[in-house]
Amino acid sequence: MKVFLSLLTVYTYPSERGRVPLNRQEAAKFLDALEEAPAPDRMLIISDVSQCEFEERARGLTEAERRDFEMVRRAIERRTGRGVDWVRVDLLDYRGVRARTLEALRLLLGGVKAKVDIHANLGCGRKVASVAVYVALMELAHSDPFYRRMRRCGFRVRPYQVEEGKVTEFPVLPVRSISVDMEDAMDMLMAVEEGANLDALKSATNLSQREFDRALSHLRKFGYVDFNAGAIRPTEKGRTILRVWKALKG
Amino acid sequence: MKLICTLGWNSVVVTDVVRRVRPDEVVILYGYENEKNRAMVESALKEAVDACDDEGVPVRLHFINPLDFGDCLSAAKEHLSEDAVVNFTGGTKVMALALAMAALSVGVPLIYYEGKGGGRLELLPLQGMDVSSGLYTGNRTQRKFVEMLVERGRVMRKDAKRELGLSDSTISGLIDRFVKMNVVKKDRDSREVVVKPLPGIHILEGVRR
Repeated sequence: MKVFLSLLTVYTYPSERGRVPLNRQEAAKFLDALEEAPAPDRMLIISDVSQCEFEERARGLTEAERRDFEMVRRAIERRTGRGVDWVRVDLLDYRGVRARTLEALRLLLGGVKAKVDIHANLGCGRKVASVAVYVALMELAHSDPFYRRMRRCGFRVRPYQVEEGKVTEFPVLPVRSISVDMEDAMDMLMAVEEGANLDALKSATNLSQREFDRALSHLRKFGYVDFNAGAIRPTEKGRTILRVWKALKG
Repeated sequence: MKLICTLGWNSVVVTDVVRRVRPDEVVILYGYENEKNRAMVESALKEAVDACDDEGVPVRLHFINPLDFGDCLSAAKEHLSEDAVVNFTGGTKVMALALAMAALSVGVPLIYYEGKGGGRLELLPLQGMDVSSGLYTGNRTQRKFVEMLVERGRVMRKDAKRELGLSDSTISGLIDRFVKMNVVKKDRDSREVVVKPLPGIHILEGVRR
């Protein structure tokens, strides 16, 4: 089964000077990416508008933008005999895009026994949404049973984009969301800022044994803390992320 | 703390973040693909540099081709370090994705700025690349094959097999893994298999278990 996955948005800024080139570029990037993918059996669109809203919004734009988005609408219709799965989500919400993409992909591919080939266009929509879709795809690809299938050739992911006729292929990397609560990990890092032994750390954090072990093992595995002479201290990397965290929390 | 940012037409994605995060140093990756974009990008760059000067933060500028993923990756990797934080909000998608992926390969934190509603800065809940769970395990053979591809730009399967001292099935398996990772392209030159690196290969340089 061949799947074409793409982000898609319609910009609605009031200023035509800024909006028109962005919308025309969005439509061109979508059409070029679709052209670059082999005939898809299914299409998955991740967008901040529903399919109806997409058509409605396009109607309120300039003639050139309307024409371009009409081509997008027709291409979607033409290339997907069985229709399209359209996920509506705020494209500036990283967590929402990642979760909804993962959910949609699991629903779409859950019972599929045939070879799966996903062509994922990351060139449209918002940048943070591109990263979220990329992470969702990588998490799916590296989860059971897809990773086993990927090793045996039954599952392939191709993240790419096309801009001004140039096709850019992105690598398939084992990246994941953090498996522990970010607040727990940062609280723990804060507690060892000046160095602490295991007992002092346990009493400084208000975590269950399981949460404590998970947070500490995450910090160790990704090099945020090191153990030296019985004391746990943040590494340079740990101090850096802590500084960012504090700046974000005000 | 070193803040590495991508920049396009809009300087706010750098200036606001510098004011909020207060780094010790800023690296700006910027670029334009045509004259029309040049004026916009240079104007945004001037505003960003002025804002950093006002905050007393030293700035380093790095010009890149904004549509060349390989160039963007190499630039990003050159500046990444243990004390780095990456802000991928500005610039083209290729610039942003290259910086984000390079940062993930070494576990550097990623932040994203959304200007609406007074400005919101977000730290993405991502961990570094876990080579123990992917097709790339960072073992000696894979590392040598990556070096070979990057150095030569084109490698015959028979040469890789001989130089790496591998059996037919092992070299085929290795090439297939890299194809599935979308970091190489397999072609045929008469009857021989030729492997050509894609820009994503640069992300694996120096990555080991």
